[in-house]
Amino acid sequence: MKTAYRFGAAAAALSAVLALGIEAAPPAAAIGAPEDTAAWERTGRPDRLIVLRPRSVSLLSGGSLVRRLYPGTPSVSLSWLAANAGREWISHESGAPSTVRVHTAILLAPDTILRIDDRTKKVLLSAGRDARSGTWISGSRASLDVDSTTLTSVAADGAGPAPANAPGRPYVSMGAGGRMDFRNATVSGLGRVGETTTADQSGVTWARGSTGSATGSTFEGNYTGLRLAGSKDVTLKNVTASGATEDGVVLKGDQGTKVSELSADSNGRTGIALGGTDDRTLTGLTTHDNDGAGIKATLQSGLELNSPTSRFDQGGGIDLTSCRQCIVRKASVESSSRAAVRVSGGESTVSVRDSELTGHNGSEPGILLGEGIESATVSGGSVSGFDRGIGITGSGVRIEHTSLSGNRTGIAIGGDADQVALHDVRVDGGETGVLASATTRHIRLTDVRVTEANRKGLASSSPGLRVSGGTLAGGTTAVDLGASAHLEKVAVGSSHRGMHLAQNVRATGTSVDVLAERQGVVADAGSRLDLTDSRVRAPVALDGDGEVKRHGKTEITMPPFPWLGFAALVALALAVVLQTLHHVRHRGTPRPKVAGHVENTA
Amino acid sequence: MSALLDTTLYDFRYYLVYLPLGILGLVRWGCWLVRRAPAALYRPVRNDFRLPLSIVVPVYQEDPEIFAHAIESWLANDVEEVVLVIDVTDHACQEVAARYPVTVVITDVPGKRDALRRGWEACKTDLVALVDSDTIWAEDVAAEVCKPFADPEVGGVGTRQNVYNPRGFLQRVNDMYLDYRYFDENAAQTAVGRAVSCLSGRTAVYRRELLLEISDEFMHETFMGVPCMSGDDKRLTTLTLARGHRTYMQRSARVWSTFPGTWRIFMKQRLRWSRNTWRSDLRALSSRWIRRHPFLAFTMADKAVSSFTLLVAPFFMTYAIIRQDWFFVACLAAWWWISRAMKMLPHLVRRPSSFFLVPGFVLVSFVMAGVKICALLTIRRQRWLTRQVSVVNGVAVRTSPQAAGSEAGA
Repeated sequence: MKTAYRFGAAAAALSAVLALGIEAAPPAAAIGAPEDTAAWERTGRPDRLIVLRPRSVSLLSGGSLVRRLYPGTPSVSLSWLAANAGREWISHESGAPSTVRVHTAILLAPDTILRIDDRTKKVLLSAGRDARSGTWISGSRASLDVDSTTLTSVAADGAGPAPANAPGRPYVSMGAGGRMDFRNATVSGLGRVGETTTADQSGVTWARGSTGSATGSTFEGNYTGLRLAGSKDVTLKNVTASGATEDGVVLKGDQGTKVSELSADSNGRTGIALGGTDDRTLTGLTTHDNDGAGIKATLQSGLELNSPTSRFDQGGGIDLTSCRQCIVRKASVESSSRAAVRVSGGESTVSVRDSELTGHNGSEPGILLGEGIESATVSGGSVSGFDRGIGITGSGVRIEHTSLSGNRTGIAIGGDADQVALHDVRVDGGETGVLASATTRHIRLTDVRVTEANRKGLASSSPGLRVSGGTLAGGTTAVDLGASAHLEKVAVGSSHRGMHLAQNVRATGTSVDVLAERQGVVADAGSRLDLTDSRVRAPVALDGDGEVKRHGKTEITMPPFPWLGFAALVALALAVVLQTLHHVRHRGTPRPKVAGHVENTA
Repeated sequence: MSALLDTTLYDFRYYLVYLPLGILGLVRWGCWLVRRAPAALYRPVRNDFRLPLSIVVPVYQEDPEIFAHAIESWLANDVEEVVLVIDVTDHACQEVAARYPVTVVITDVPGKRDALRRGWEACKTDLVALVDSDTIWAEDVAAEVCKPFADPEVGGVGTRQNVYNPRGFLQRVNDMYLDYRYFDENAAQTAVGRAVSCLSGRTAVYRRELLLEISDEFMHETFMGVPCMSGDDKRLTTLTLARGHRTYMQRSARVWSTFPGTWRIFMKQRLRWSRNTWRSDLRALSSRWIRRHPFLAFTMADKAVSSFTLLVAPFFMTYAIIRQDWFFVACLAAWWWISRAMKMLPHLVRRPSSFFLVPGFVLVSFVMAGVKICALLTIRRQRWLTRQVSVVNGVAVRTSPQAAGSEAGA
């Protein structure tokens, strides 16, 4: 009976504790349960650790259980912890009741929920002087819900934000089976450089198997802004990552991520880094002023980037490395130094469609299709203001329905480029329209229009070049051939020199119309041009020591009759005739008689 | 059809950029040929007609040596009287005049117009030659200028002028301008309508009775409310024409005059002449009497338009240089040289070495076009610019401190 009474009293006391959520007295030995010690060991032996469990909260200092709280529910708010854990664990800032400072790492055990809401509008996570004294919030198969709150780090001395290289800089991460949500939150100054045994920690990480969302939230000044590493079905909506030491946003190995209005700016490396996930479609990514590329995708398959925007990212706009069957659609890129769109790496098959790419004093091409790629297609859109509008050193490239203007060289084909086709491309301005080097093969131009090029419309040393249809014009030379070529139904003109064939070059032309201001065709010694059903009009139609063979109805004529020039000659002739008439009528007029000091008497 | 249109546009673009300049050049050359053709048919009057002739010379701040040469050249002609109207402050010229058998009238009224009036009022002969004090005559000028007066309709006769002993670029350019004027403009105006737009004040001969008749209008000329001081020669010419008389350029009568050798005076002189021309021509073109002289009206309008059209060519040249279209630049430069040389043939036949001055002449003509526009914009301003006289409060006054002091003393 006595035992029953004692058991009943203990049960009543425990029920009262659980109901009221008050702390239980610490065990005399201050040694935690084995699972707490294991958690402490597993998480790198932090100086202070709060372990949230479904029915209790353990507070461990140096691995020893200091006390245990019983919130009575698996869902705990940070404000509750601040009220019950004690000032040395979580404290309120004096004079700012909604600001709390966290001095402890917080581990969310499975099936627990930590809520950080507007009762704690600002949460200062203390950085430690070393990794163990730093703070973090982490968990797995648990939930972290952050709403209308600013999470930020504070230096170990409490003076200000933790520096980026602080070893105990705070971070937030959620592991397998967990859920992490940010709503209208700001997360700043989080994430740390990894030590030898620990990987770098991003500011916020959805780790493998976790899920959640970020909505209307900003991640600024983190080590890596936010990272989705193997996460599942995470939603990112109206999210900005800026000022990170490393990448702004990393999406790697994540599945089912839904993205809208995601932007990254002023980050230390890539704005948005993509990798490890196939068949991903991302719409409306915006980047600017990142030190690396705006968007960088590596080893992707089936990636679709719709309407991405990049402004002045130092490492270029969009960088696709070894991406198979990837599509960039309606990209808008302004670049001042690197390529607006770069495609490189083996087995790349990329399509760039309807994109507007603008260069400012750029030395890199607007679109660089690098060596080793399997195939690439550029269709629609415009490229302007670059050193080279499109640079091609890879093979299997097709450029179609694209407009290029104001680039120093419109399209430069070099390296070992093979099987390159340009179709319905318009090139305006710059110095050279299309440039093909001697190491390239199987270049074909159809309906290409080059206008207002200051120097050369087409300069080719590519053997076997074929040009069909279109117009080629250049300030000095419209078509400059350094290797064999065939031209068909091409209008060549608006230049001082129509066509030039270098020494020993053989070329053919069918239905070619050459109109030049000075020389129509200049064939250097040993070269030969076979023209069939063509027309050459210029003051000097044929020039040079080479051969120009005419076949069919080929005409070699002067340019359209210069009526104004003719009128000018007539006017000059009339002036001479009238002067002659005047002279004849006044012949024999004597010199005037005048004093000797007057000289001008003729 | 589409291909044909494409080809046509393609061909047209070949010329399109510089087409406006070409068309404008064609029009300008057409206008020049309209003048040049009758000018080639011009002949001076040849007869034995003679009337008594006096010379009236306003004298102010003239170089004494040139003045003496000029007096001697006038006296070498068969003239009744030489009347020198010398400014009271100009003692040097008075001393020169005292050495010759001439009539000296001392005037204390500044301004050329009053001096001319005093001169012709002092004369008694039928014809009066108004002559500048630096103008040297050939020995037969008096005889030659009388010949056109055989026609009673002729009220005034001008002479052919050249630069006295030209030295340096500017004087050579002035000589080119004068030949262009007397072999083209004045010759054409004489040949077509016997209506020369301006009998130059260096030597212009009028019937004395006509001068007395127009004296008041001459003395009280105003333009837009401002009394006119310079432009006396244009005014006398237009008053003569307005009264139904003819004006004639007798090219066989030759005179020489000094011209400035410095850019500063050259520009001032041109600015003054341009203002006078704008005033006179604008007034003439708005007068009824000009309808009797359509060719004269044409040449006046042509001259006015040319001030603006002349600047189109350097505009295109600048555009071509910016485009680095060196072929066009070379063609246009060559065209300027050749075409201007063709227009200057009468001068080049006389002085072939001037061919090498033609590029400079072309550049000066562009500057002069700018000066003409500047003159139009300041058309109301009355200043002699090369002598110390000006119009202040509607009255001609001396502007040099020395002259003003002498005047006060007088």
